[in-house]
Amino acid sequence: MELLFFLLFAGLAIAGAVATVWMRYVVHSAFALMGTFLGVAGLYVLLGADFLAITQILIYVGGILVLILFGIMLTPPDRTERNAKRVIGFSASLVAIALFLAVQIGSVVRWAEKSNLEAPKATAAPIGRELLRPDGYLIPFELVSVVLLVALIGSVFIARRRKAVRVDDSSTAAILAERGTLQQKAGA
Amino acid sequence: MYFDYFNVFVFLTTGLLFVFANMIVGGLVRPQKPTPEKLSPYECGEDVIGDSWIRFDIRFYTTALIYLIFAVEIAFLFPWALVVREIGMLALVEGFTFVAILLLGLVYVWVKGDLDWVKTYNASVKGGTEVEDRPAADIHGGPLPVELLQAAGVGPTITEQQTKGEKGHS
Amino acid sequence: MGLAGYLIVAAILFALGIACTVARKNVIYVLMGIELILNAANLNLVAFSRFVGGLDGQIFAIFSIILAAAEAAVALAIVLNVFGLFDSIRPDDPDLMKE
Repeated sequence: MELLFFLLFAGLAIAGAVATVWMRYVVHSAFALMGTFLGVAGLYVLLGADFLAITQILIYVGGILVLILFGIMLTPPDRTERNAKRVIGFSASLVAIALFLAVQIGSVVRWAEKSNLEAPKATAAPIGRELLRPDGYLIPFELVSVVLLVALIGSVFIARRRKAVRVDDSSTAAILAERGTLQQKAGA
Repeated sequence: MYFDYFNVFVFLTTGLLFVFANMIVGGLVRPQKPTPEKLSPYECGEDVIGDSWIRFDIRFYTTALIYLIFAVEIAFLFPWALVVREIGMLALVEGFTFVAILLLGLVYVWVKGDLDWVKTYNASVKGGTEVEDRPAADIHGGPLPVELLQAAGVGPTITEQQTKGEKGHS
Repeated sequence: MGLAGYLIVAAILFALGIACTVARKNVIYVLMGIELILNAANLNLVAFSRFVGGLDGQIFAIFSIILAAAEAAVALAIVLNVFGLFDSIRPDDPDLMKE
């Protein structure tokens, strides 16, 4: 039964990843990426990391993917971008290398695996205890808020539309103008 | 433990079945006589004009961004909330510090006007902040000023008409 | 399913993430590839946390997810700003530092 669910979730994750690399339109890739995220969340459940599975769905599917979709909506579709040979070549060779290395490492290294796994328990409260223990993860826990603050302010500042001109240097303007992007804009 | 997820699984299966069973049954039962009019996207009965890709306002992105940051905060506060009672004062202080630091970010985006959806229209009211006077649909910086293009030697020669045209755009 | 199965799934996800980053010429694909790579790394961390013991792997994975969120937010803001400047979302195009 557990093997069945493992195959289901692993298949979902890998199929989503393959589709993400392969799809012609970036929107389709983003939705395929959702399959990967959900599959990985399912694998977390099988690994007994229930809180992490919920976090994965909340942040990856509910947050990052939405952000990526907004990024797609704000940039134009590039329908000629995919080079099928290149994609297949890179994907196949990299997957082959990764599998080869994984099998090699797996045959050489013996991890310090526990032989008898106990049944998974709810992990949210132990994680909270660990996060708040002074000799545990208390300092990283506080630093996360600083990181998030910097990310929020920084990205809002970068994303904000400016009244000022983006290019404030005439030599930069000249380089851009040679490529025609400026003229196109000025003529618009 | 795994048995607890049986509920989730039942909900998931029911939801998927509810959607896809209806779609499949509908697809099998309904008559199919496609015509070009039927196949075109529905735009409230009008003829379809232009590309389906339009530039969205970047404020959608800003809002999603702020949402994401606070979703991350919730993900951190959930395990905190489960154990705050048993750990006591330390946890309380830490949690409130965490929220207070992130609150600074909320105050920043609020004061700077990134949360005002209609800031385009009350540009004169909010003096001092970075407010826009361009149409909301224009996510680009607008056209570059003509003087800069002339400095680069590529600018259009300014006639009165073109100047007007530029102003009309921006 | 033992540790090896999870490690192999993570290796495949990682390889596909690298391929997505390298083979596609669109910045959004690069970002999605990075998310795949981070997911593979998290899967490894959680798998080791389960099969070796302790919660540290899971907590590392949570921090990694948080950093992925911050990274995606800032990176997409940069992408949108670069797109406003260069009218392009191909990562090869912004190369003014070369001139």
